[in-house]
Amino acid sequence: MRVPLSYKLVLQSLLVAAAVVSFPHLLAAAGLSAAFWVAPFVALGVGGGLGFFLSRELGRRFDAVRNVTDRIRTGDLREAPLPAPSRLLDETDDISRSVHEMLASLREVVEQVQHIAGRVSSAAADLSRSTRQTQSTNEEASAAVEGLAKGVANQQELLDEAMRTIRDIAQTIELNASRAREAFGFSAEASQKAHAGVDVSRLALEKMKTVFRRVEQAGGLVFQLEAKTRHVHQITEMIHSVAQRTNLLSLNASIEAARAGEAGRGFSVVADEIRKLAENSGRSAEEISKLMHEIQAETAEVADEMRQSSVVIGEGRDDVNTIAHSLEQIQSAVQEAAARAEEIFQEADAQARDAERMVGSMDEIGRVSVANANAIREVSEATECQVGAVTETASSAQAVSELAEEMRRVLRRFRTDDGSRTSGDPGGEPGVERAGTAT
Amino acid sequence: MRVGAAPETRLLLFEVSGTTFALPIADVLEVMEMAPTAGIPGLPRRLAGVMNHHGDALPVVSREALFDVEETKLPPARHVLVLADRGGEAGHLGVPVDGVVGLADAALGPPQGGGLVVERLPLRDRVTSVIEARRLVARAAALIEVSSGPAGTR
Repeated sequence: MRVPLSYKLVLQSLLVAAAVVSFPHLLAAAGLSAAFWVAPFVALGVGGGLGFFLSRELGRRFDAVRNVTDRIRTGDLREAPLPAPSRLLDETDDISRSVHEMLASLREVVEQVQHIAGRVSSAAADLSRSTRQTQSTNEEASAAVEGLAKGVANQQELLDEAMRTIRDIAQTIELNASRAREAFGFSAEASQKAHAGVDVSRLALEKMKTVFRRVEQAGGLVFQLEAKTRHVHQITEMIHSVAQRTNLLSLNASIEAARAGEAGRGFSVVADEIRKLAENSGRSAEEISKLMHEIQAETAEVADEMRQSSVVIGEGRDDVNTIAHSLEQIQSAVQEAAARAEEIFQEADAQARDAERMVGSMDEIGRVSVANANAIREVSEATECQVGAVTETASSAQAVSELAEEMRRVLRRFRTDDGSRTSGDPGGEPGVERAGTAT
Repeated sequence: MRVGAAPETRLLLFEVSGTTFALPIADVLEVMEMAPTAGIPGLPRRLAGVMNHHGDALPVVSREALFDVEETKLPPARHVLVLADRGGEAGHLGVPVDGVVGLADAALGPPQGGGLVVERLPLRDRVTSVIEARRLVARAAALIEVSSGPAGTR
């Protein structure tokens, strides 16, 4: 039966009042009389007895509750014996039962918290280990990315150098192509000029051959003239000789005429005239002879010159033939050179186009390289951020581990099983590393 | 011809060693071309020889001996003057000369001196030494006589 404590106090008050009231009557019934001042004492005794009994019972109840709360205060959450309930249940029984239920709940909570703290510590250790691995991996990745960035930077420098070199090569190829174009133009012009020159040379050679023939003909005429000059010289000498003989005859005639005296005077005149004619003829013949000598000498010189010239002409004819052959070879060589120059020009033009394409490709490669460098720079920055985040995560894991350890240290105050305090590892995970010691 | 002066004589001009000589044409029989000479026995070849003169032997006395010139200065003789030894016994005489220059007329004076040259005249713009054929023949005869003698015989 449940009687609230207030009822009990009220009942006690009622019993005291009844005792006070009923005491005179009871005395009267018993035949006793008592002074008026005895009744308060009776009431006080009854009230005191009831109070003592009730207080003792309350004290016993509260002591049991205090024992339980003291155990809770000291962390002993083990199950405590429940005190015997009162014959008349009241609030103290409720408090005792509630305290015991609170103890059970608290023990259950502590056990769950302990279990959770262990799991948190284990998770923090796992997280710390994973964070360390991630941090190590990130550091490796960061180092790799940094190395990759350096490599990309070096590659970009090399690529820039290669691009400059290729541009120089392309400019050189373009210059060569331009020069090859000019050389081709020059070769074509030279080929045309050589062709024209060969034609002109052929004409000149034909004219030279004609000149040679005419010179040879003139040489023949000179030789004939030389022979005829000799003949004329012989004739002149004969005339001179005749003139001398005539002169001699005229002298002798004059002598004979002088010997004839007056009769020979006319004959003497004729002889003188003949002698004069002979002398004139002789002088003329001498002059002719001198002239013929000179002509003959000059003709001989001309003939000698012609003989030497004929040798030279023969050599000149050979030289002309050689020149003609050489001109044909030159023409052929110039045509061949022009053809080769055209091939070189075509190849140089193709090389220039290839070089232009190569420069375009290198520009594209350069742009891709710059993009790669930017991407790697972003990856590096992201990696650094990730490293920072991982570091923060490690710090957080360390803090969580420390908190879990602190919680376990705090929870270690509570005893939830018999004979031992809580180990902070209620989950049965003895291999879990303490995060606090790991970091 | 000058009136009152000596009659002109026709002279035959010839050269020997660069000197022009003249002979009266009347003293000359003929002018011949120089021909090869043959030696005369007893006379040196450089002094005299004989040559064919229309089938007869014509003695020819060298120019060096007659005109007393050095042989080295003489050109080859082209003509031979055939002189007549009028009244002499030597017959004709051949006088080789460098060449006959021509004829000239001149008035000759009386012979002067005793040498070969009897007169010197300016003829044909040159000084001409006129000689006498008689003296020339006499000189040739004397040379031949001297050379053909015991002392001059080679």
